[in-house]
Amino acid sequence: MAARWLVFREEEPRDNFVLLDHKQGDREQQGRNSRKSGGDEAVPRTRISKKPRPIRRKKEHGKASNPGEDEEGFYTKLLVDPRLQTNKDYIETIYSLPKNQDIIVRDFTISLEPPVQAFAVFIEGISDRVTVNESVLKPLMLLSGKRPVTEPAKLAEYLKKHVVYGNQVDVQDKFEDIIEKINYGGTAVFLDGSPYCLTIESKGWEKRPVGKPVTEQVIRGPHEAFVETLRSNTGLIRKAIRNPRLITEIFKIGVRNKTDVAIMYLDNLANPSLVEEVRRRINSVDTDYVSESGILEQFIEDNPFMPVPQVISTERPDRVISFIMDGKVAILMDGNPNVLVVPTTFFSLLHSPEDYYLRLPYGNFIRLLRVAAMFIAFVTPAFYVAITTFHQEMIPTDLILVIASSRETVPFPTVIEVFFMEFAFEMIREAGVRVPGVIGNTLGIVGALILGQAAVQAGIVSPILIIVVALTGLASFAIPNYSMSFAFRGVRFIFTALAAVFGFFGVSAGLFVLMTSMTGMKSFGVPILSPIGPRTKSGPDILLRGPVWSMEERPDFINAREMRRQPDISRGWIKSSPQEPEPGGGDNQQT
Amino acid sequence: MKGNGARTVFAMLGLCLVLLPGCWGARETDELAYILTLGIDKGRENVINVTFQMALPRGKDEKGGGGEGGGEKEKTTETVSVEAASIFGALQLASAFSAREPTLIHNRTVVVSEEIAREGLAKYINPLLRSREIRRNTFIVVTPGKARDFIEKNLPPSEKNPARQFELAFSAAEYTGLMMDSIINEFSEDIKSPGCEAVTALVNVNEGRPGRESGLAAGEKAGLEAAFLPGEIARVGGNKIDIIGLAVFRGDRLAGYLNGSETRYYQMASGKFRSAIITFPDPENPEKDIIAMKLRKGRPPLVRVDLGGPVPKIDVDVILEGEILSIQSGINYELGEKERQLGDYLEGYITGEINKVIEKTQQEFQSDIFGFGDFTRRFFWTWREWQDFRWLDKYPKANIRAKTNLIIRRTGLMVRTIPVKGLPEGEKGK
Amino acid sequence: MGTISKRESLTFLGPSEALAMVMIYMGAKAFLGYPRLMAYQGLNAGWLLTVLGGLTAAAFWLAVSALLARFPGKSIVEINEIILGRPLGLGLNALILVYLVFSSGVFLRQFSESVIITALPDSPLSSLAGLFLLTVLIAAYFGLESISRNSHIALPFILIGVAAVLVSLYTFWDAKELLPILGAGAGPVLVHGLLGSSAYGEVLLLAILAPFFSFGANTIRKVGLIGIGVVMLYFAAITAVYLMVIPIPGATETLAPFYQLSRTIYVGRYYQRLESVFVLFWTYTAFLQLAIGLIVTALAAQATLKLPYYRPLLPALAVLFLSLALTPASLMENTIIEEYQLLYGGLFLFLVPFGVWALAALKEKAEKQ
Repeated sequence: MAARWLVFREEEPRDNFVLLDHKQGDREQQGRNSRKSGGDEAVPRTRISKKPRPIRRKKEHGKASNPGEDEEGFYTKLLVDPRLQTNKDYIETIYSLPKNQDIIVRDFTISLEPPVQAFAVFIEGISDRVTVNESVLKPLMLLSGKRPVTEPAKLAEYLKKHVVYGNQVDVQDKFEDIIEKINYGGTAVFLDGSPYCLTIESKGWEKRPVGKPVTEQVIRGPHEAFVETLRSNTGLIRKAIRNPRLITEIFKIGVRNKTDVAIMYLDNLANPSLVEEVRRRINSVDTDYVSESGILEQFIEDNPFMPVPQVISTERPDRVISFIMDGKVAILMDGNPNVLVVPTTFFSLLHSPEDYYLRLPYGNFIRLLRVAAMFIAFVTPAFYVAITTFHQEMIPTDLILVIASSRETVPFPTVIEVFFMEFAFEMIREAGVRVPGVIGNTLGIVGALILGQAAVQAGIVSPILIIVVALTGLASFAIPNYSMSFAFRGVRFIFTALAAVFGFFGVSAGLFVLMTSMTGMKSFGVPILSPIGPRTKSGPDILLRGPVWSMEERPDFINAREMRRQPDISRGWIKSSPQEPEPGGGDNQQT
Repeated sequence: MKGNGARTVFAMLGLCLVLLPGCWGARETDELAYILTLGIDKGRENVINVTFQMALPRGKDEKGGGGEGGGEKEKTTETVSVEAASIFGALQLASAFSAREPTLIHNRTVVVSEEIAREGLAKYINPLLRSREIRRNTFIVVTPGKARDFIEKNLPPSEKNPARQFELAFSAAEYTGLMMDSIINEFSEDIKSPGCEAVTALVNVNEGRPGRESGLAAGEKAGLEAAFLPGEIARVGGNKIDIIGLAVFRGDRLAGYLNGSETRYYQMASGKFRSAIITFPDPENPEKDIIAMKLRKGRPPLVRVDLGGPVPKIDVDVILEGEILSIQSGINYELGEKERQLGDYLEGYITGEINKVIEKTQQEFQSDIFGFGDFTRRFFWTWREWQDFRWLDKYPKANIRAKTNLIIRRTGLMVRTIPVKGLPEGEKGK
Repeated sequence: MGTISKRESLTFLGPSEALAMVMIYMGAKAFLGYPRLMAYQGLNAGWLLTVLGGLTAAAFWLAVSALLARFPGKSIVEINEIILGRPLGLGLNALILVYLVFSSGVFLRQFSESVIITALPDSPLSSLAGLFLLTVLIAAYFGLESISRNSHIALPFILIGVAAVLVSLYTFWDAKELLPILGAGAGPVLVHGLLGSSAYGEVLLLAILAPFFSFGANTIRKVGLIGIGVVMLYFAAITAVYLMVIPIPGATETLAPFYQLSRTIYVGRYYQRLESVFVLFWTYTAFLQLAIGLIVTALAAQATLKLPYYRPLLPALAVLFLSLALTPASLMENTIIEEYQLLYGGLFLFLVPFGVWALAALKEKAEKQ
């Protein structure tokens, strides 16, 4: 025992694992000997002579040279074998049983005359135990009675029609389809002597119940939000649009891992060329794995480098529903609650559903506030810098004396102050997102206030600057679309820099370039500043909104199949007077 | 990659530009010394003696000043004078002893001394117009003394900022008529216009003086109530400066002064009048009692021009509205016959005063500050013709008559005055 | 004719955008020395000069649009070649190009100087002009559509901004300053008024961009007339207010009349010192004007020289503008050049197309017989 401390001993090799460059033939070896360092057959490290190039995803699928070793494809050509044991072997090879303990293989006997051996395969965790037990095993195992048995080839068909009472049952013979089904929560039943197998839909996994929206809360309006399961999301939309012309098309994207993507639109309303374009773009995405709708958005949008987003991403069903009813197309993705809607315009990005649910004066008031907030959010620091460094004559004399005296102690030029405070504010904001729960929000506010106050008292920044920065931050919170607020936050720094060098002239130049770039952008064929970019007809709903009964036509740029929403007079009750009250009257009448 | 490299270089250059403090004319607010008032005097060693009143920075929380038994007032401005050959030369020299760069962008007032004004102001006004730092609505005032004295002694008790003081004073002018704001824009227009002559406000130092015996009747005293030039107002205490009256120019040279009450009547005739409270002698009791009326401009004055005949003939109808503020004698001027009597009396009085002012400008100053010349424009087709008409030379001989039309609209809160009860027999007549 | 690249051939501007572009292209000069020049030439009748100029320009425009109507969908560059034949037409088009380049260069210099005088007194001229051109170049790369939409969006703001300045000066208006009514005299007013149509010369933009419009010759004519009409009112208003606030003879002295106007605003103690905000409006207009100028020149050059693309011409033209802008040694030289351009440009801009139109009419008559 004491020897341990007195005698020197070599340390056991622990971090000798080196992740080497992968060669095709090494794969099996590395899989089994993951702990040993591949010292001998390792590819010697070569000096990096070339600069790293940006990684380009190449199409791997289809270029695999050895069919035996290509993991995805090697079972594509397999068919169900009548012999049960062969099927079992296939399954064990495909799924690497018994190492892979998610896959359950259940042998049982179907009691027919004569009894048929069978086994069921399903993945625990994504299949619903109850469904597997009740709808698959129970009817097959408890089958009693002597039904006339058809030939083995038709056994699967017979079972599907008469015995198994799952609500989605298929008869398959290709392993490709069977494996896909099993991977997504289904159960496959292999029958001895039948070249077909039954696949039963038994999906069921832990999912979040429909909750409140996290980023788009309203005070007046529904509080439902999308969840991570595609089927639940489509369900949320379906239950509101009870129209047989609502089409849900489902695609699979991704090569190594296929994710389900659904597009929903109204067939008799949406422009068919728009739908076709959406289909075309989604189907042409060629990559390993698309995990989130944000990534999909970046794949299909027109201008990935522009600050303004070109698709709306929302987690509220009521918004998606109103967009679909306008003739737009919704793109839902399995695994995340953000639904994309195309096409969009700049003004749609500034609308919040509450504007419509509230009465006209309130809705317009909020809109005006938001427009003001939008301007404040990206231009205030730039104006402050420009005015205090170049255009001091703009400030009333009293104020400028105060500013000058408060800047006495500050060692930095105004630009540096502004950047410093803005940076601190952004950091606080970002930190507030990471810190969990209640502390997060409080940290944000308290941190900002204290930091600002302390900085002023230490004499690092001037007090007016704190107000400017706080106002800017608040204004950027008022922008309803999360991506959009990033646009403004980013652009704000550029404007400040321009203002620092060229004053108002620089701000004007920046504004000009920003405007020109925005007028050149399109979102799925619709110029993003419609309806004022190119002047097109639109209802009273650009910045301010008109009363609900005056929004008769859909905006022109949608080019839907039908452009009318409502007739000219949509409040029928104003056309006629109410019924005459009976003489000798009701409660509220004057006698 | 080439593209990346170039972009990085540009980005870094851009960053340097931003971080470079004061590049290309950017100045922080605390690098500048803001000049609030500019004074021009005749210089001894050099051509002019320029006075700058610069603002001292002050914090928002001022410690000490108010709490400690109010000793001396905290100095908020600093006044320096420099001898130089030009205003800009003086500005440059000032930066030799001032810590910050002096700038005229917040300058509100230009004070010119009489000597300079008599020599001709055009050569100082033109550079002010040319400079981008001076705004065209800067006030310009003339002082009979030295500009430096005026600026130094101007310590308004409640205003820390002399710019604000002047703005407030001139906006108060709308209610007193004793002075008029004059801005460089108008001044430079008028010194070049063939139809009008320039006026500026008049200021001076007033150390305060007690009243002097004059032995005049109350009515006459009423007439002299506002007839002061700045520096002569009979008062004690307060800020040691007066702003009252006008300086009259002929071309760009100072021709003379109008005192406070003449200023009022000038404004009435030229249409710049807003309102004023004027004290008149009581028509029925001019020895002892006065009437105070608040007069307001009713309409712009109607000017009728007749250019036929040897001299131009101009009739000016001044339209005023009045409100009775004080009737010392208790006579019921509010109603009926008395009211008309009062109205007629006042009209006559005011007309007389206006005509006096017009005559003064014609004979003493020979300068048409009323702008009657502009009314003669419509008789000509082209500018050249009008210029050749040379109105300003014809002005001193022109036959100008003013007429006043006064309507008494209101009488304050009382509709009649009940006489005070009689004194006991023995004491009447005292 | 194969001279328009495929990308641009898909560009179709609507009438509102075309109108906005024309109005901004014409109207931007009101922010420079134009009102002063009108005051100098016409004295009190300066505003009358603008009106006369507008009417003359409208008359000429009718002729030019009739010419365009004969050859629908073709720009005036192509029409010149058709009517005058290859060598003469080419020469004429080259002259038009030279004029466009020259006028943009002069404008650039004038504008940069204005910015220096009003906003950034210590900045070097080349950096300002460089920034101008860089911004305009970036914008021009986005294409004609973007610029036209930008103008369309910016136009109401600019009009409102100018109107705000003019109305805020209400207390300084003095209508007597507009008398005597004929100012410099009936003769000079008439002559200068007619020559003053050069201020509206930019309406020829519509003629050069004719292939890119989604509307026909009738609407082109209407757009031109409305553009000239509104800009005429705008010029007249600015000149009239300028004369009322800063009267003759002082009005002929100022370098940047609109800037002086915005400096004089004083509606109460708090609503003053606002000229820097107007710097924003007016520099935006300058950017638009230069961007339109750059892209129109490039398109005209492409049509004249029958090139397949116009984009490579943009940087070259930008450099050309810059060097032209930096050539005059002093601001005064440039001011004089600007005045000459305003005085005599009309002869070139209007008489020449008028001549071409007359020639076309004669030719047609000859062909008929």
